Amino acid sequence: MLIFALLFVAIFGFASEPTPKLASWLSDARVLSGGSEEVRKNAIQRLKAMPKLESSLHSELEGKNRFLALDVISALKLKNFLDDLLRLAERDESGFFYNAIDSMIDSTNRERITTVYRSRVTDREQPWGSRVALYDSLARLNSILSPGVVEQSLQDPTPEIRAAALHYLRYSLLHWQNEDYLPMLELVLKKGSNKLKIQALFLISELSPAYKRRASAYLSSCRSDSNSEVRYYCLQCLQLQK
Amino acid sequence: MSPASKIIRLKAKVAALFLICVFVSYFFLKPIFQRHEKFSSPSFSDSRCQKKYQELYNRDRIDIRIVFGYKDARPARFVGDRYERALWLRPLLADCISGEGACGFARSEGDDELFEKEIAGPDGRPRKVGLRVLQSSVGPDDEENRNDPFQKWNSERVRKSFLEGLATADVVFYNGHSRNGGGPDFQPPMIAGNGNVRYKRYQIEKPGIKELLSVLEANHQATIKLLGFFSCASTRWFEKPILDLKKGIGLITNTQLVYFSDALENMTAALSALLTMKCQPDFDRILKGGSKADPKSGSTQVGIKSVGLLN
Repeated sequence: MLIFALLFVAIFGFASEPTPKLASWLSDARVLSGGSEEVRKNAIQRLKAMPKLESSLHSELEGKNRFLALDVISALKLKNFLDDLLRLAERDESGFFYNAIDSMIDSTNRERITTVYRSRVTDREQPWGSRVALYDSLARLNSILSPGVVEQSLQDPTPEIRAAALHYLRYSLLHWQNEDYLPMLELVLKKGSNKLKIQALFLISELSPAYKRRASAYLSSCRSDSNSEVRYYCLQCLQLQK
Repeated sequence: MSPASKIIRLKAKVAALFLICVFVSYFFLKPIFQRHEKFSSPSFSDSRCQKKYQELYNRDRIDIRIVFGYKDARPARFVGDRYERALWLRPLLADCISGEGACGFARSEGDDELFEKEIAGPDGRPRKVGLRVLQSSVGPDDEENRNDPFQKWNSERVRKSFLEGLATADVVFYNGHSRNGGGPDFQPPMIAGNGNVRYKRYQIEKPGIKELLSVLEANHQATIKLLGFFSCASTRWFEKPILDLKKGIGLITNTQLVYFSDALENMTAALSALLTMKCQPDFDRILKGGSKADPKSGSTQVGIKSVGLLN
């Protein structure tokens, strides 16, 4: 009897068709980006009307469809997922969990989220994709990190972290006019890779006249750089000072 | 000491010695076996397929370019290709599980965007695979990127590397927007006043594909054997003009809209199949397996299509 029952479950249980609800949230999630605004709005309306959607999303957050689940959570601004997302983001290799968290930030949770981000951005145990996202988010949140933290990241073994830290530096110098960060450009121009040096030189070209004058002192090393493109942009920066 | 306990002690010594021998030989022989596995010559059931792979691997160094286009999410400001590249690189830098190819790469010293590993070619001889992985965006915010001169520089650099790859590389994969046939695209999109992408203009002017075709046309001695477009409806937009111009080229395209993580999976599967030298039926099976409809979740299959590579 038990064998028959198990066989029944095996044949009809596991081979059953997908539940229409699960299938439909996935298909609606797929059109949240990349389509027209009208398609997106209609998909959001259907998703909002779906019963037990949140439990489906919960079960998918650690599975294959996690990015689709994140898209739905962001589009519907399901803030009760915040704790789960902060927990799961620690293992996230892409940074997409942090992007989803960003979409939920409001005046009630901003401080808490910023504190978590600040503690994790320097954590070398975090996957580098996540640390790139954390730098991006902290810049957007206007969260000022100490120059020491940024300096450390500018010398991180992973080039993508170094580029993200320099991108953060761009925010701090252009949007916050924070001159404490200015000397770090010298460090990049002396020790950075060619691409990072060029990124720094473009940043110098964007600085305010007062900052540009100060930064011109950092250009002595790149004038004779072994890379011709670095030399070219270095000389361009020097021309701009005149 | 009694003779019985002497025998027990002797047996214990022999057992310990045996265990030490096993332990030592495991550590000494493991790299040899691994190296043998790494450089064991693949077996081909199809001679045409073998010939194709001999052509593909005819140089000691194989140049593969993976180029992420500018992945904006207009009308939203978010740009995602930096994150997608990070996600895609993760398994490539991990150790290989037996039978996989898209793994075991190491970042080149002195070149941050180059990833390398050695494999056995179709003749069993070692080949160095150089995988250049480029991203187009310099930041996650399209509004910021548009005003950043470094973005302009990077877009131009990535575009040049892509086009150069069509002439000098062995394999080029594009993962980005199709722009309604106006792609591939490596720069912030042309947008209207309301922030929407000007798709009509892309569709009419076709800037990306026109440039691609002119490079293919101008380079009769081009070394490229396989071109992959992991982008929405790329079969519709790009297959015919490319095959009309270059009949013998291998081409991988998407028949329908593709979600970013499916496109990444497909690209990994294609690279893995290429490096483990799979012939067409297996190649297609691996490609489709990467994103095949999951009967439990009901996710849709991403129609990926490959032509001309291995037959």
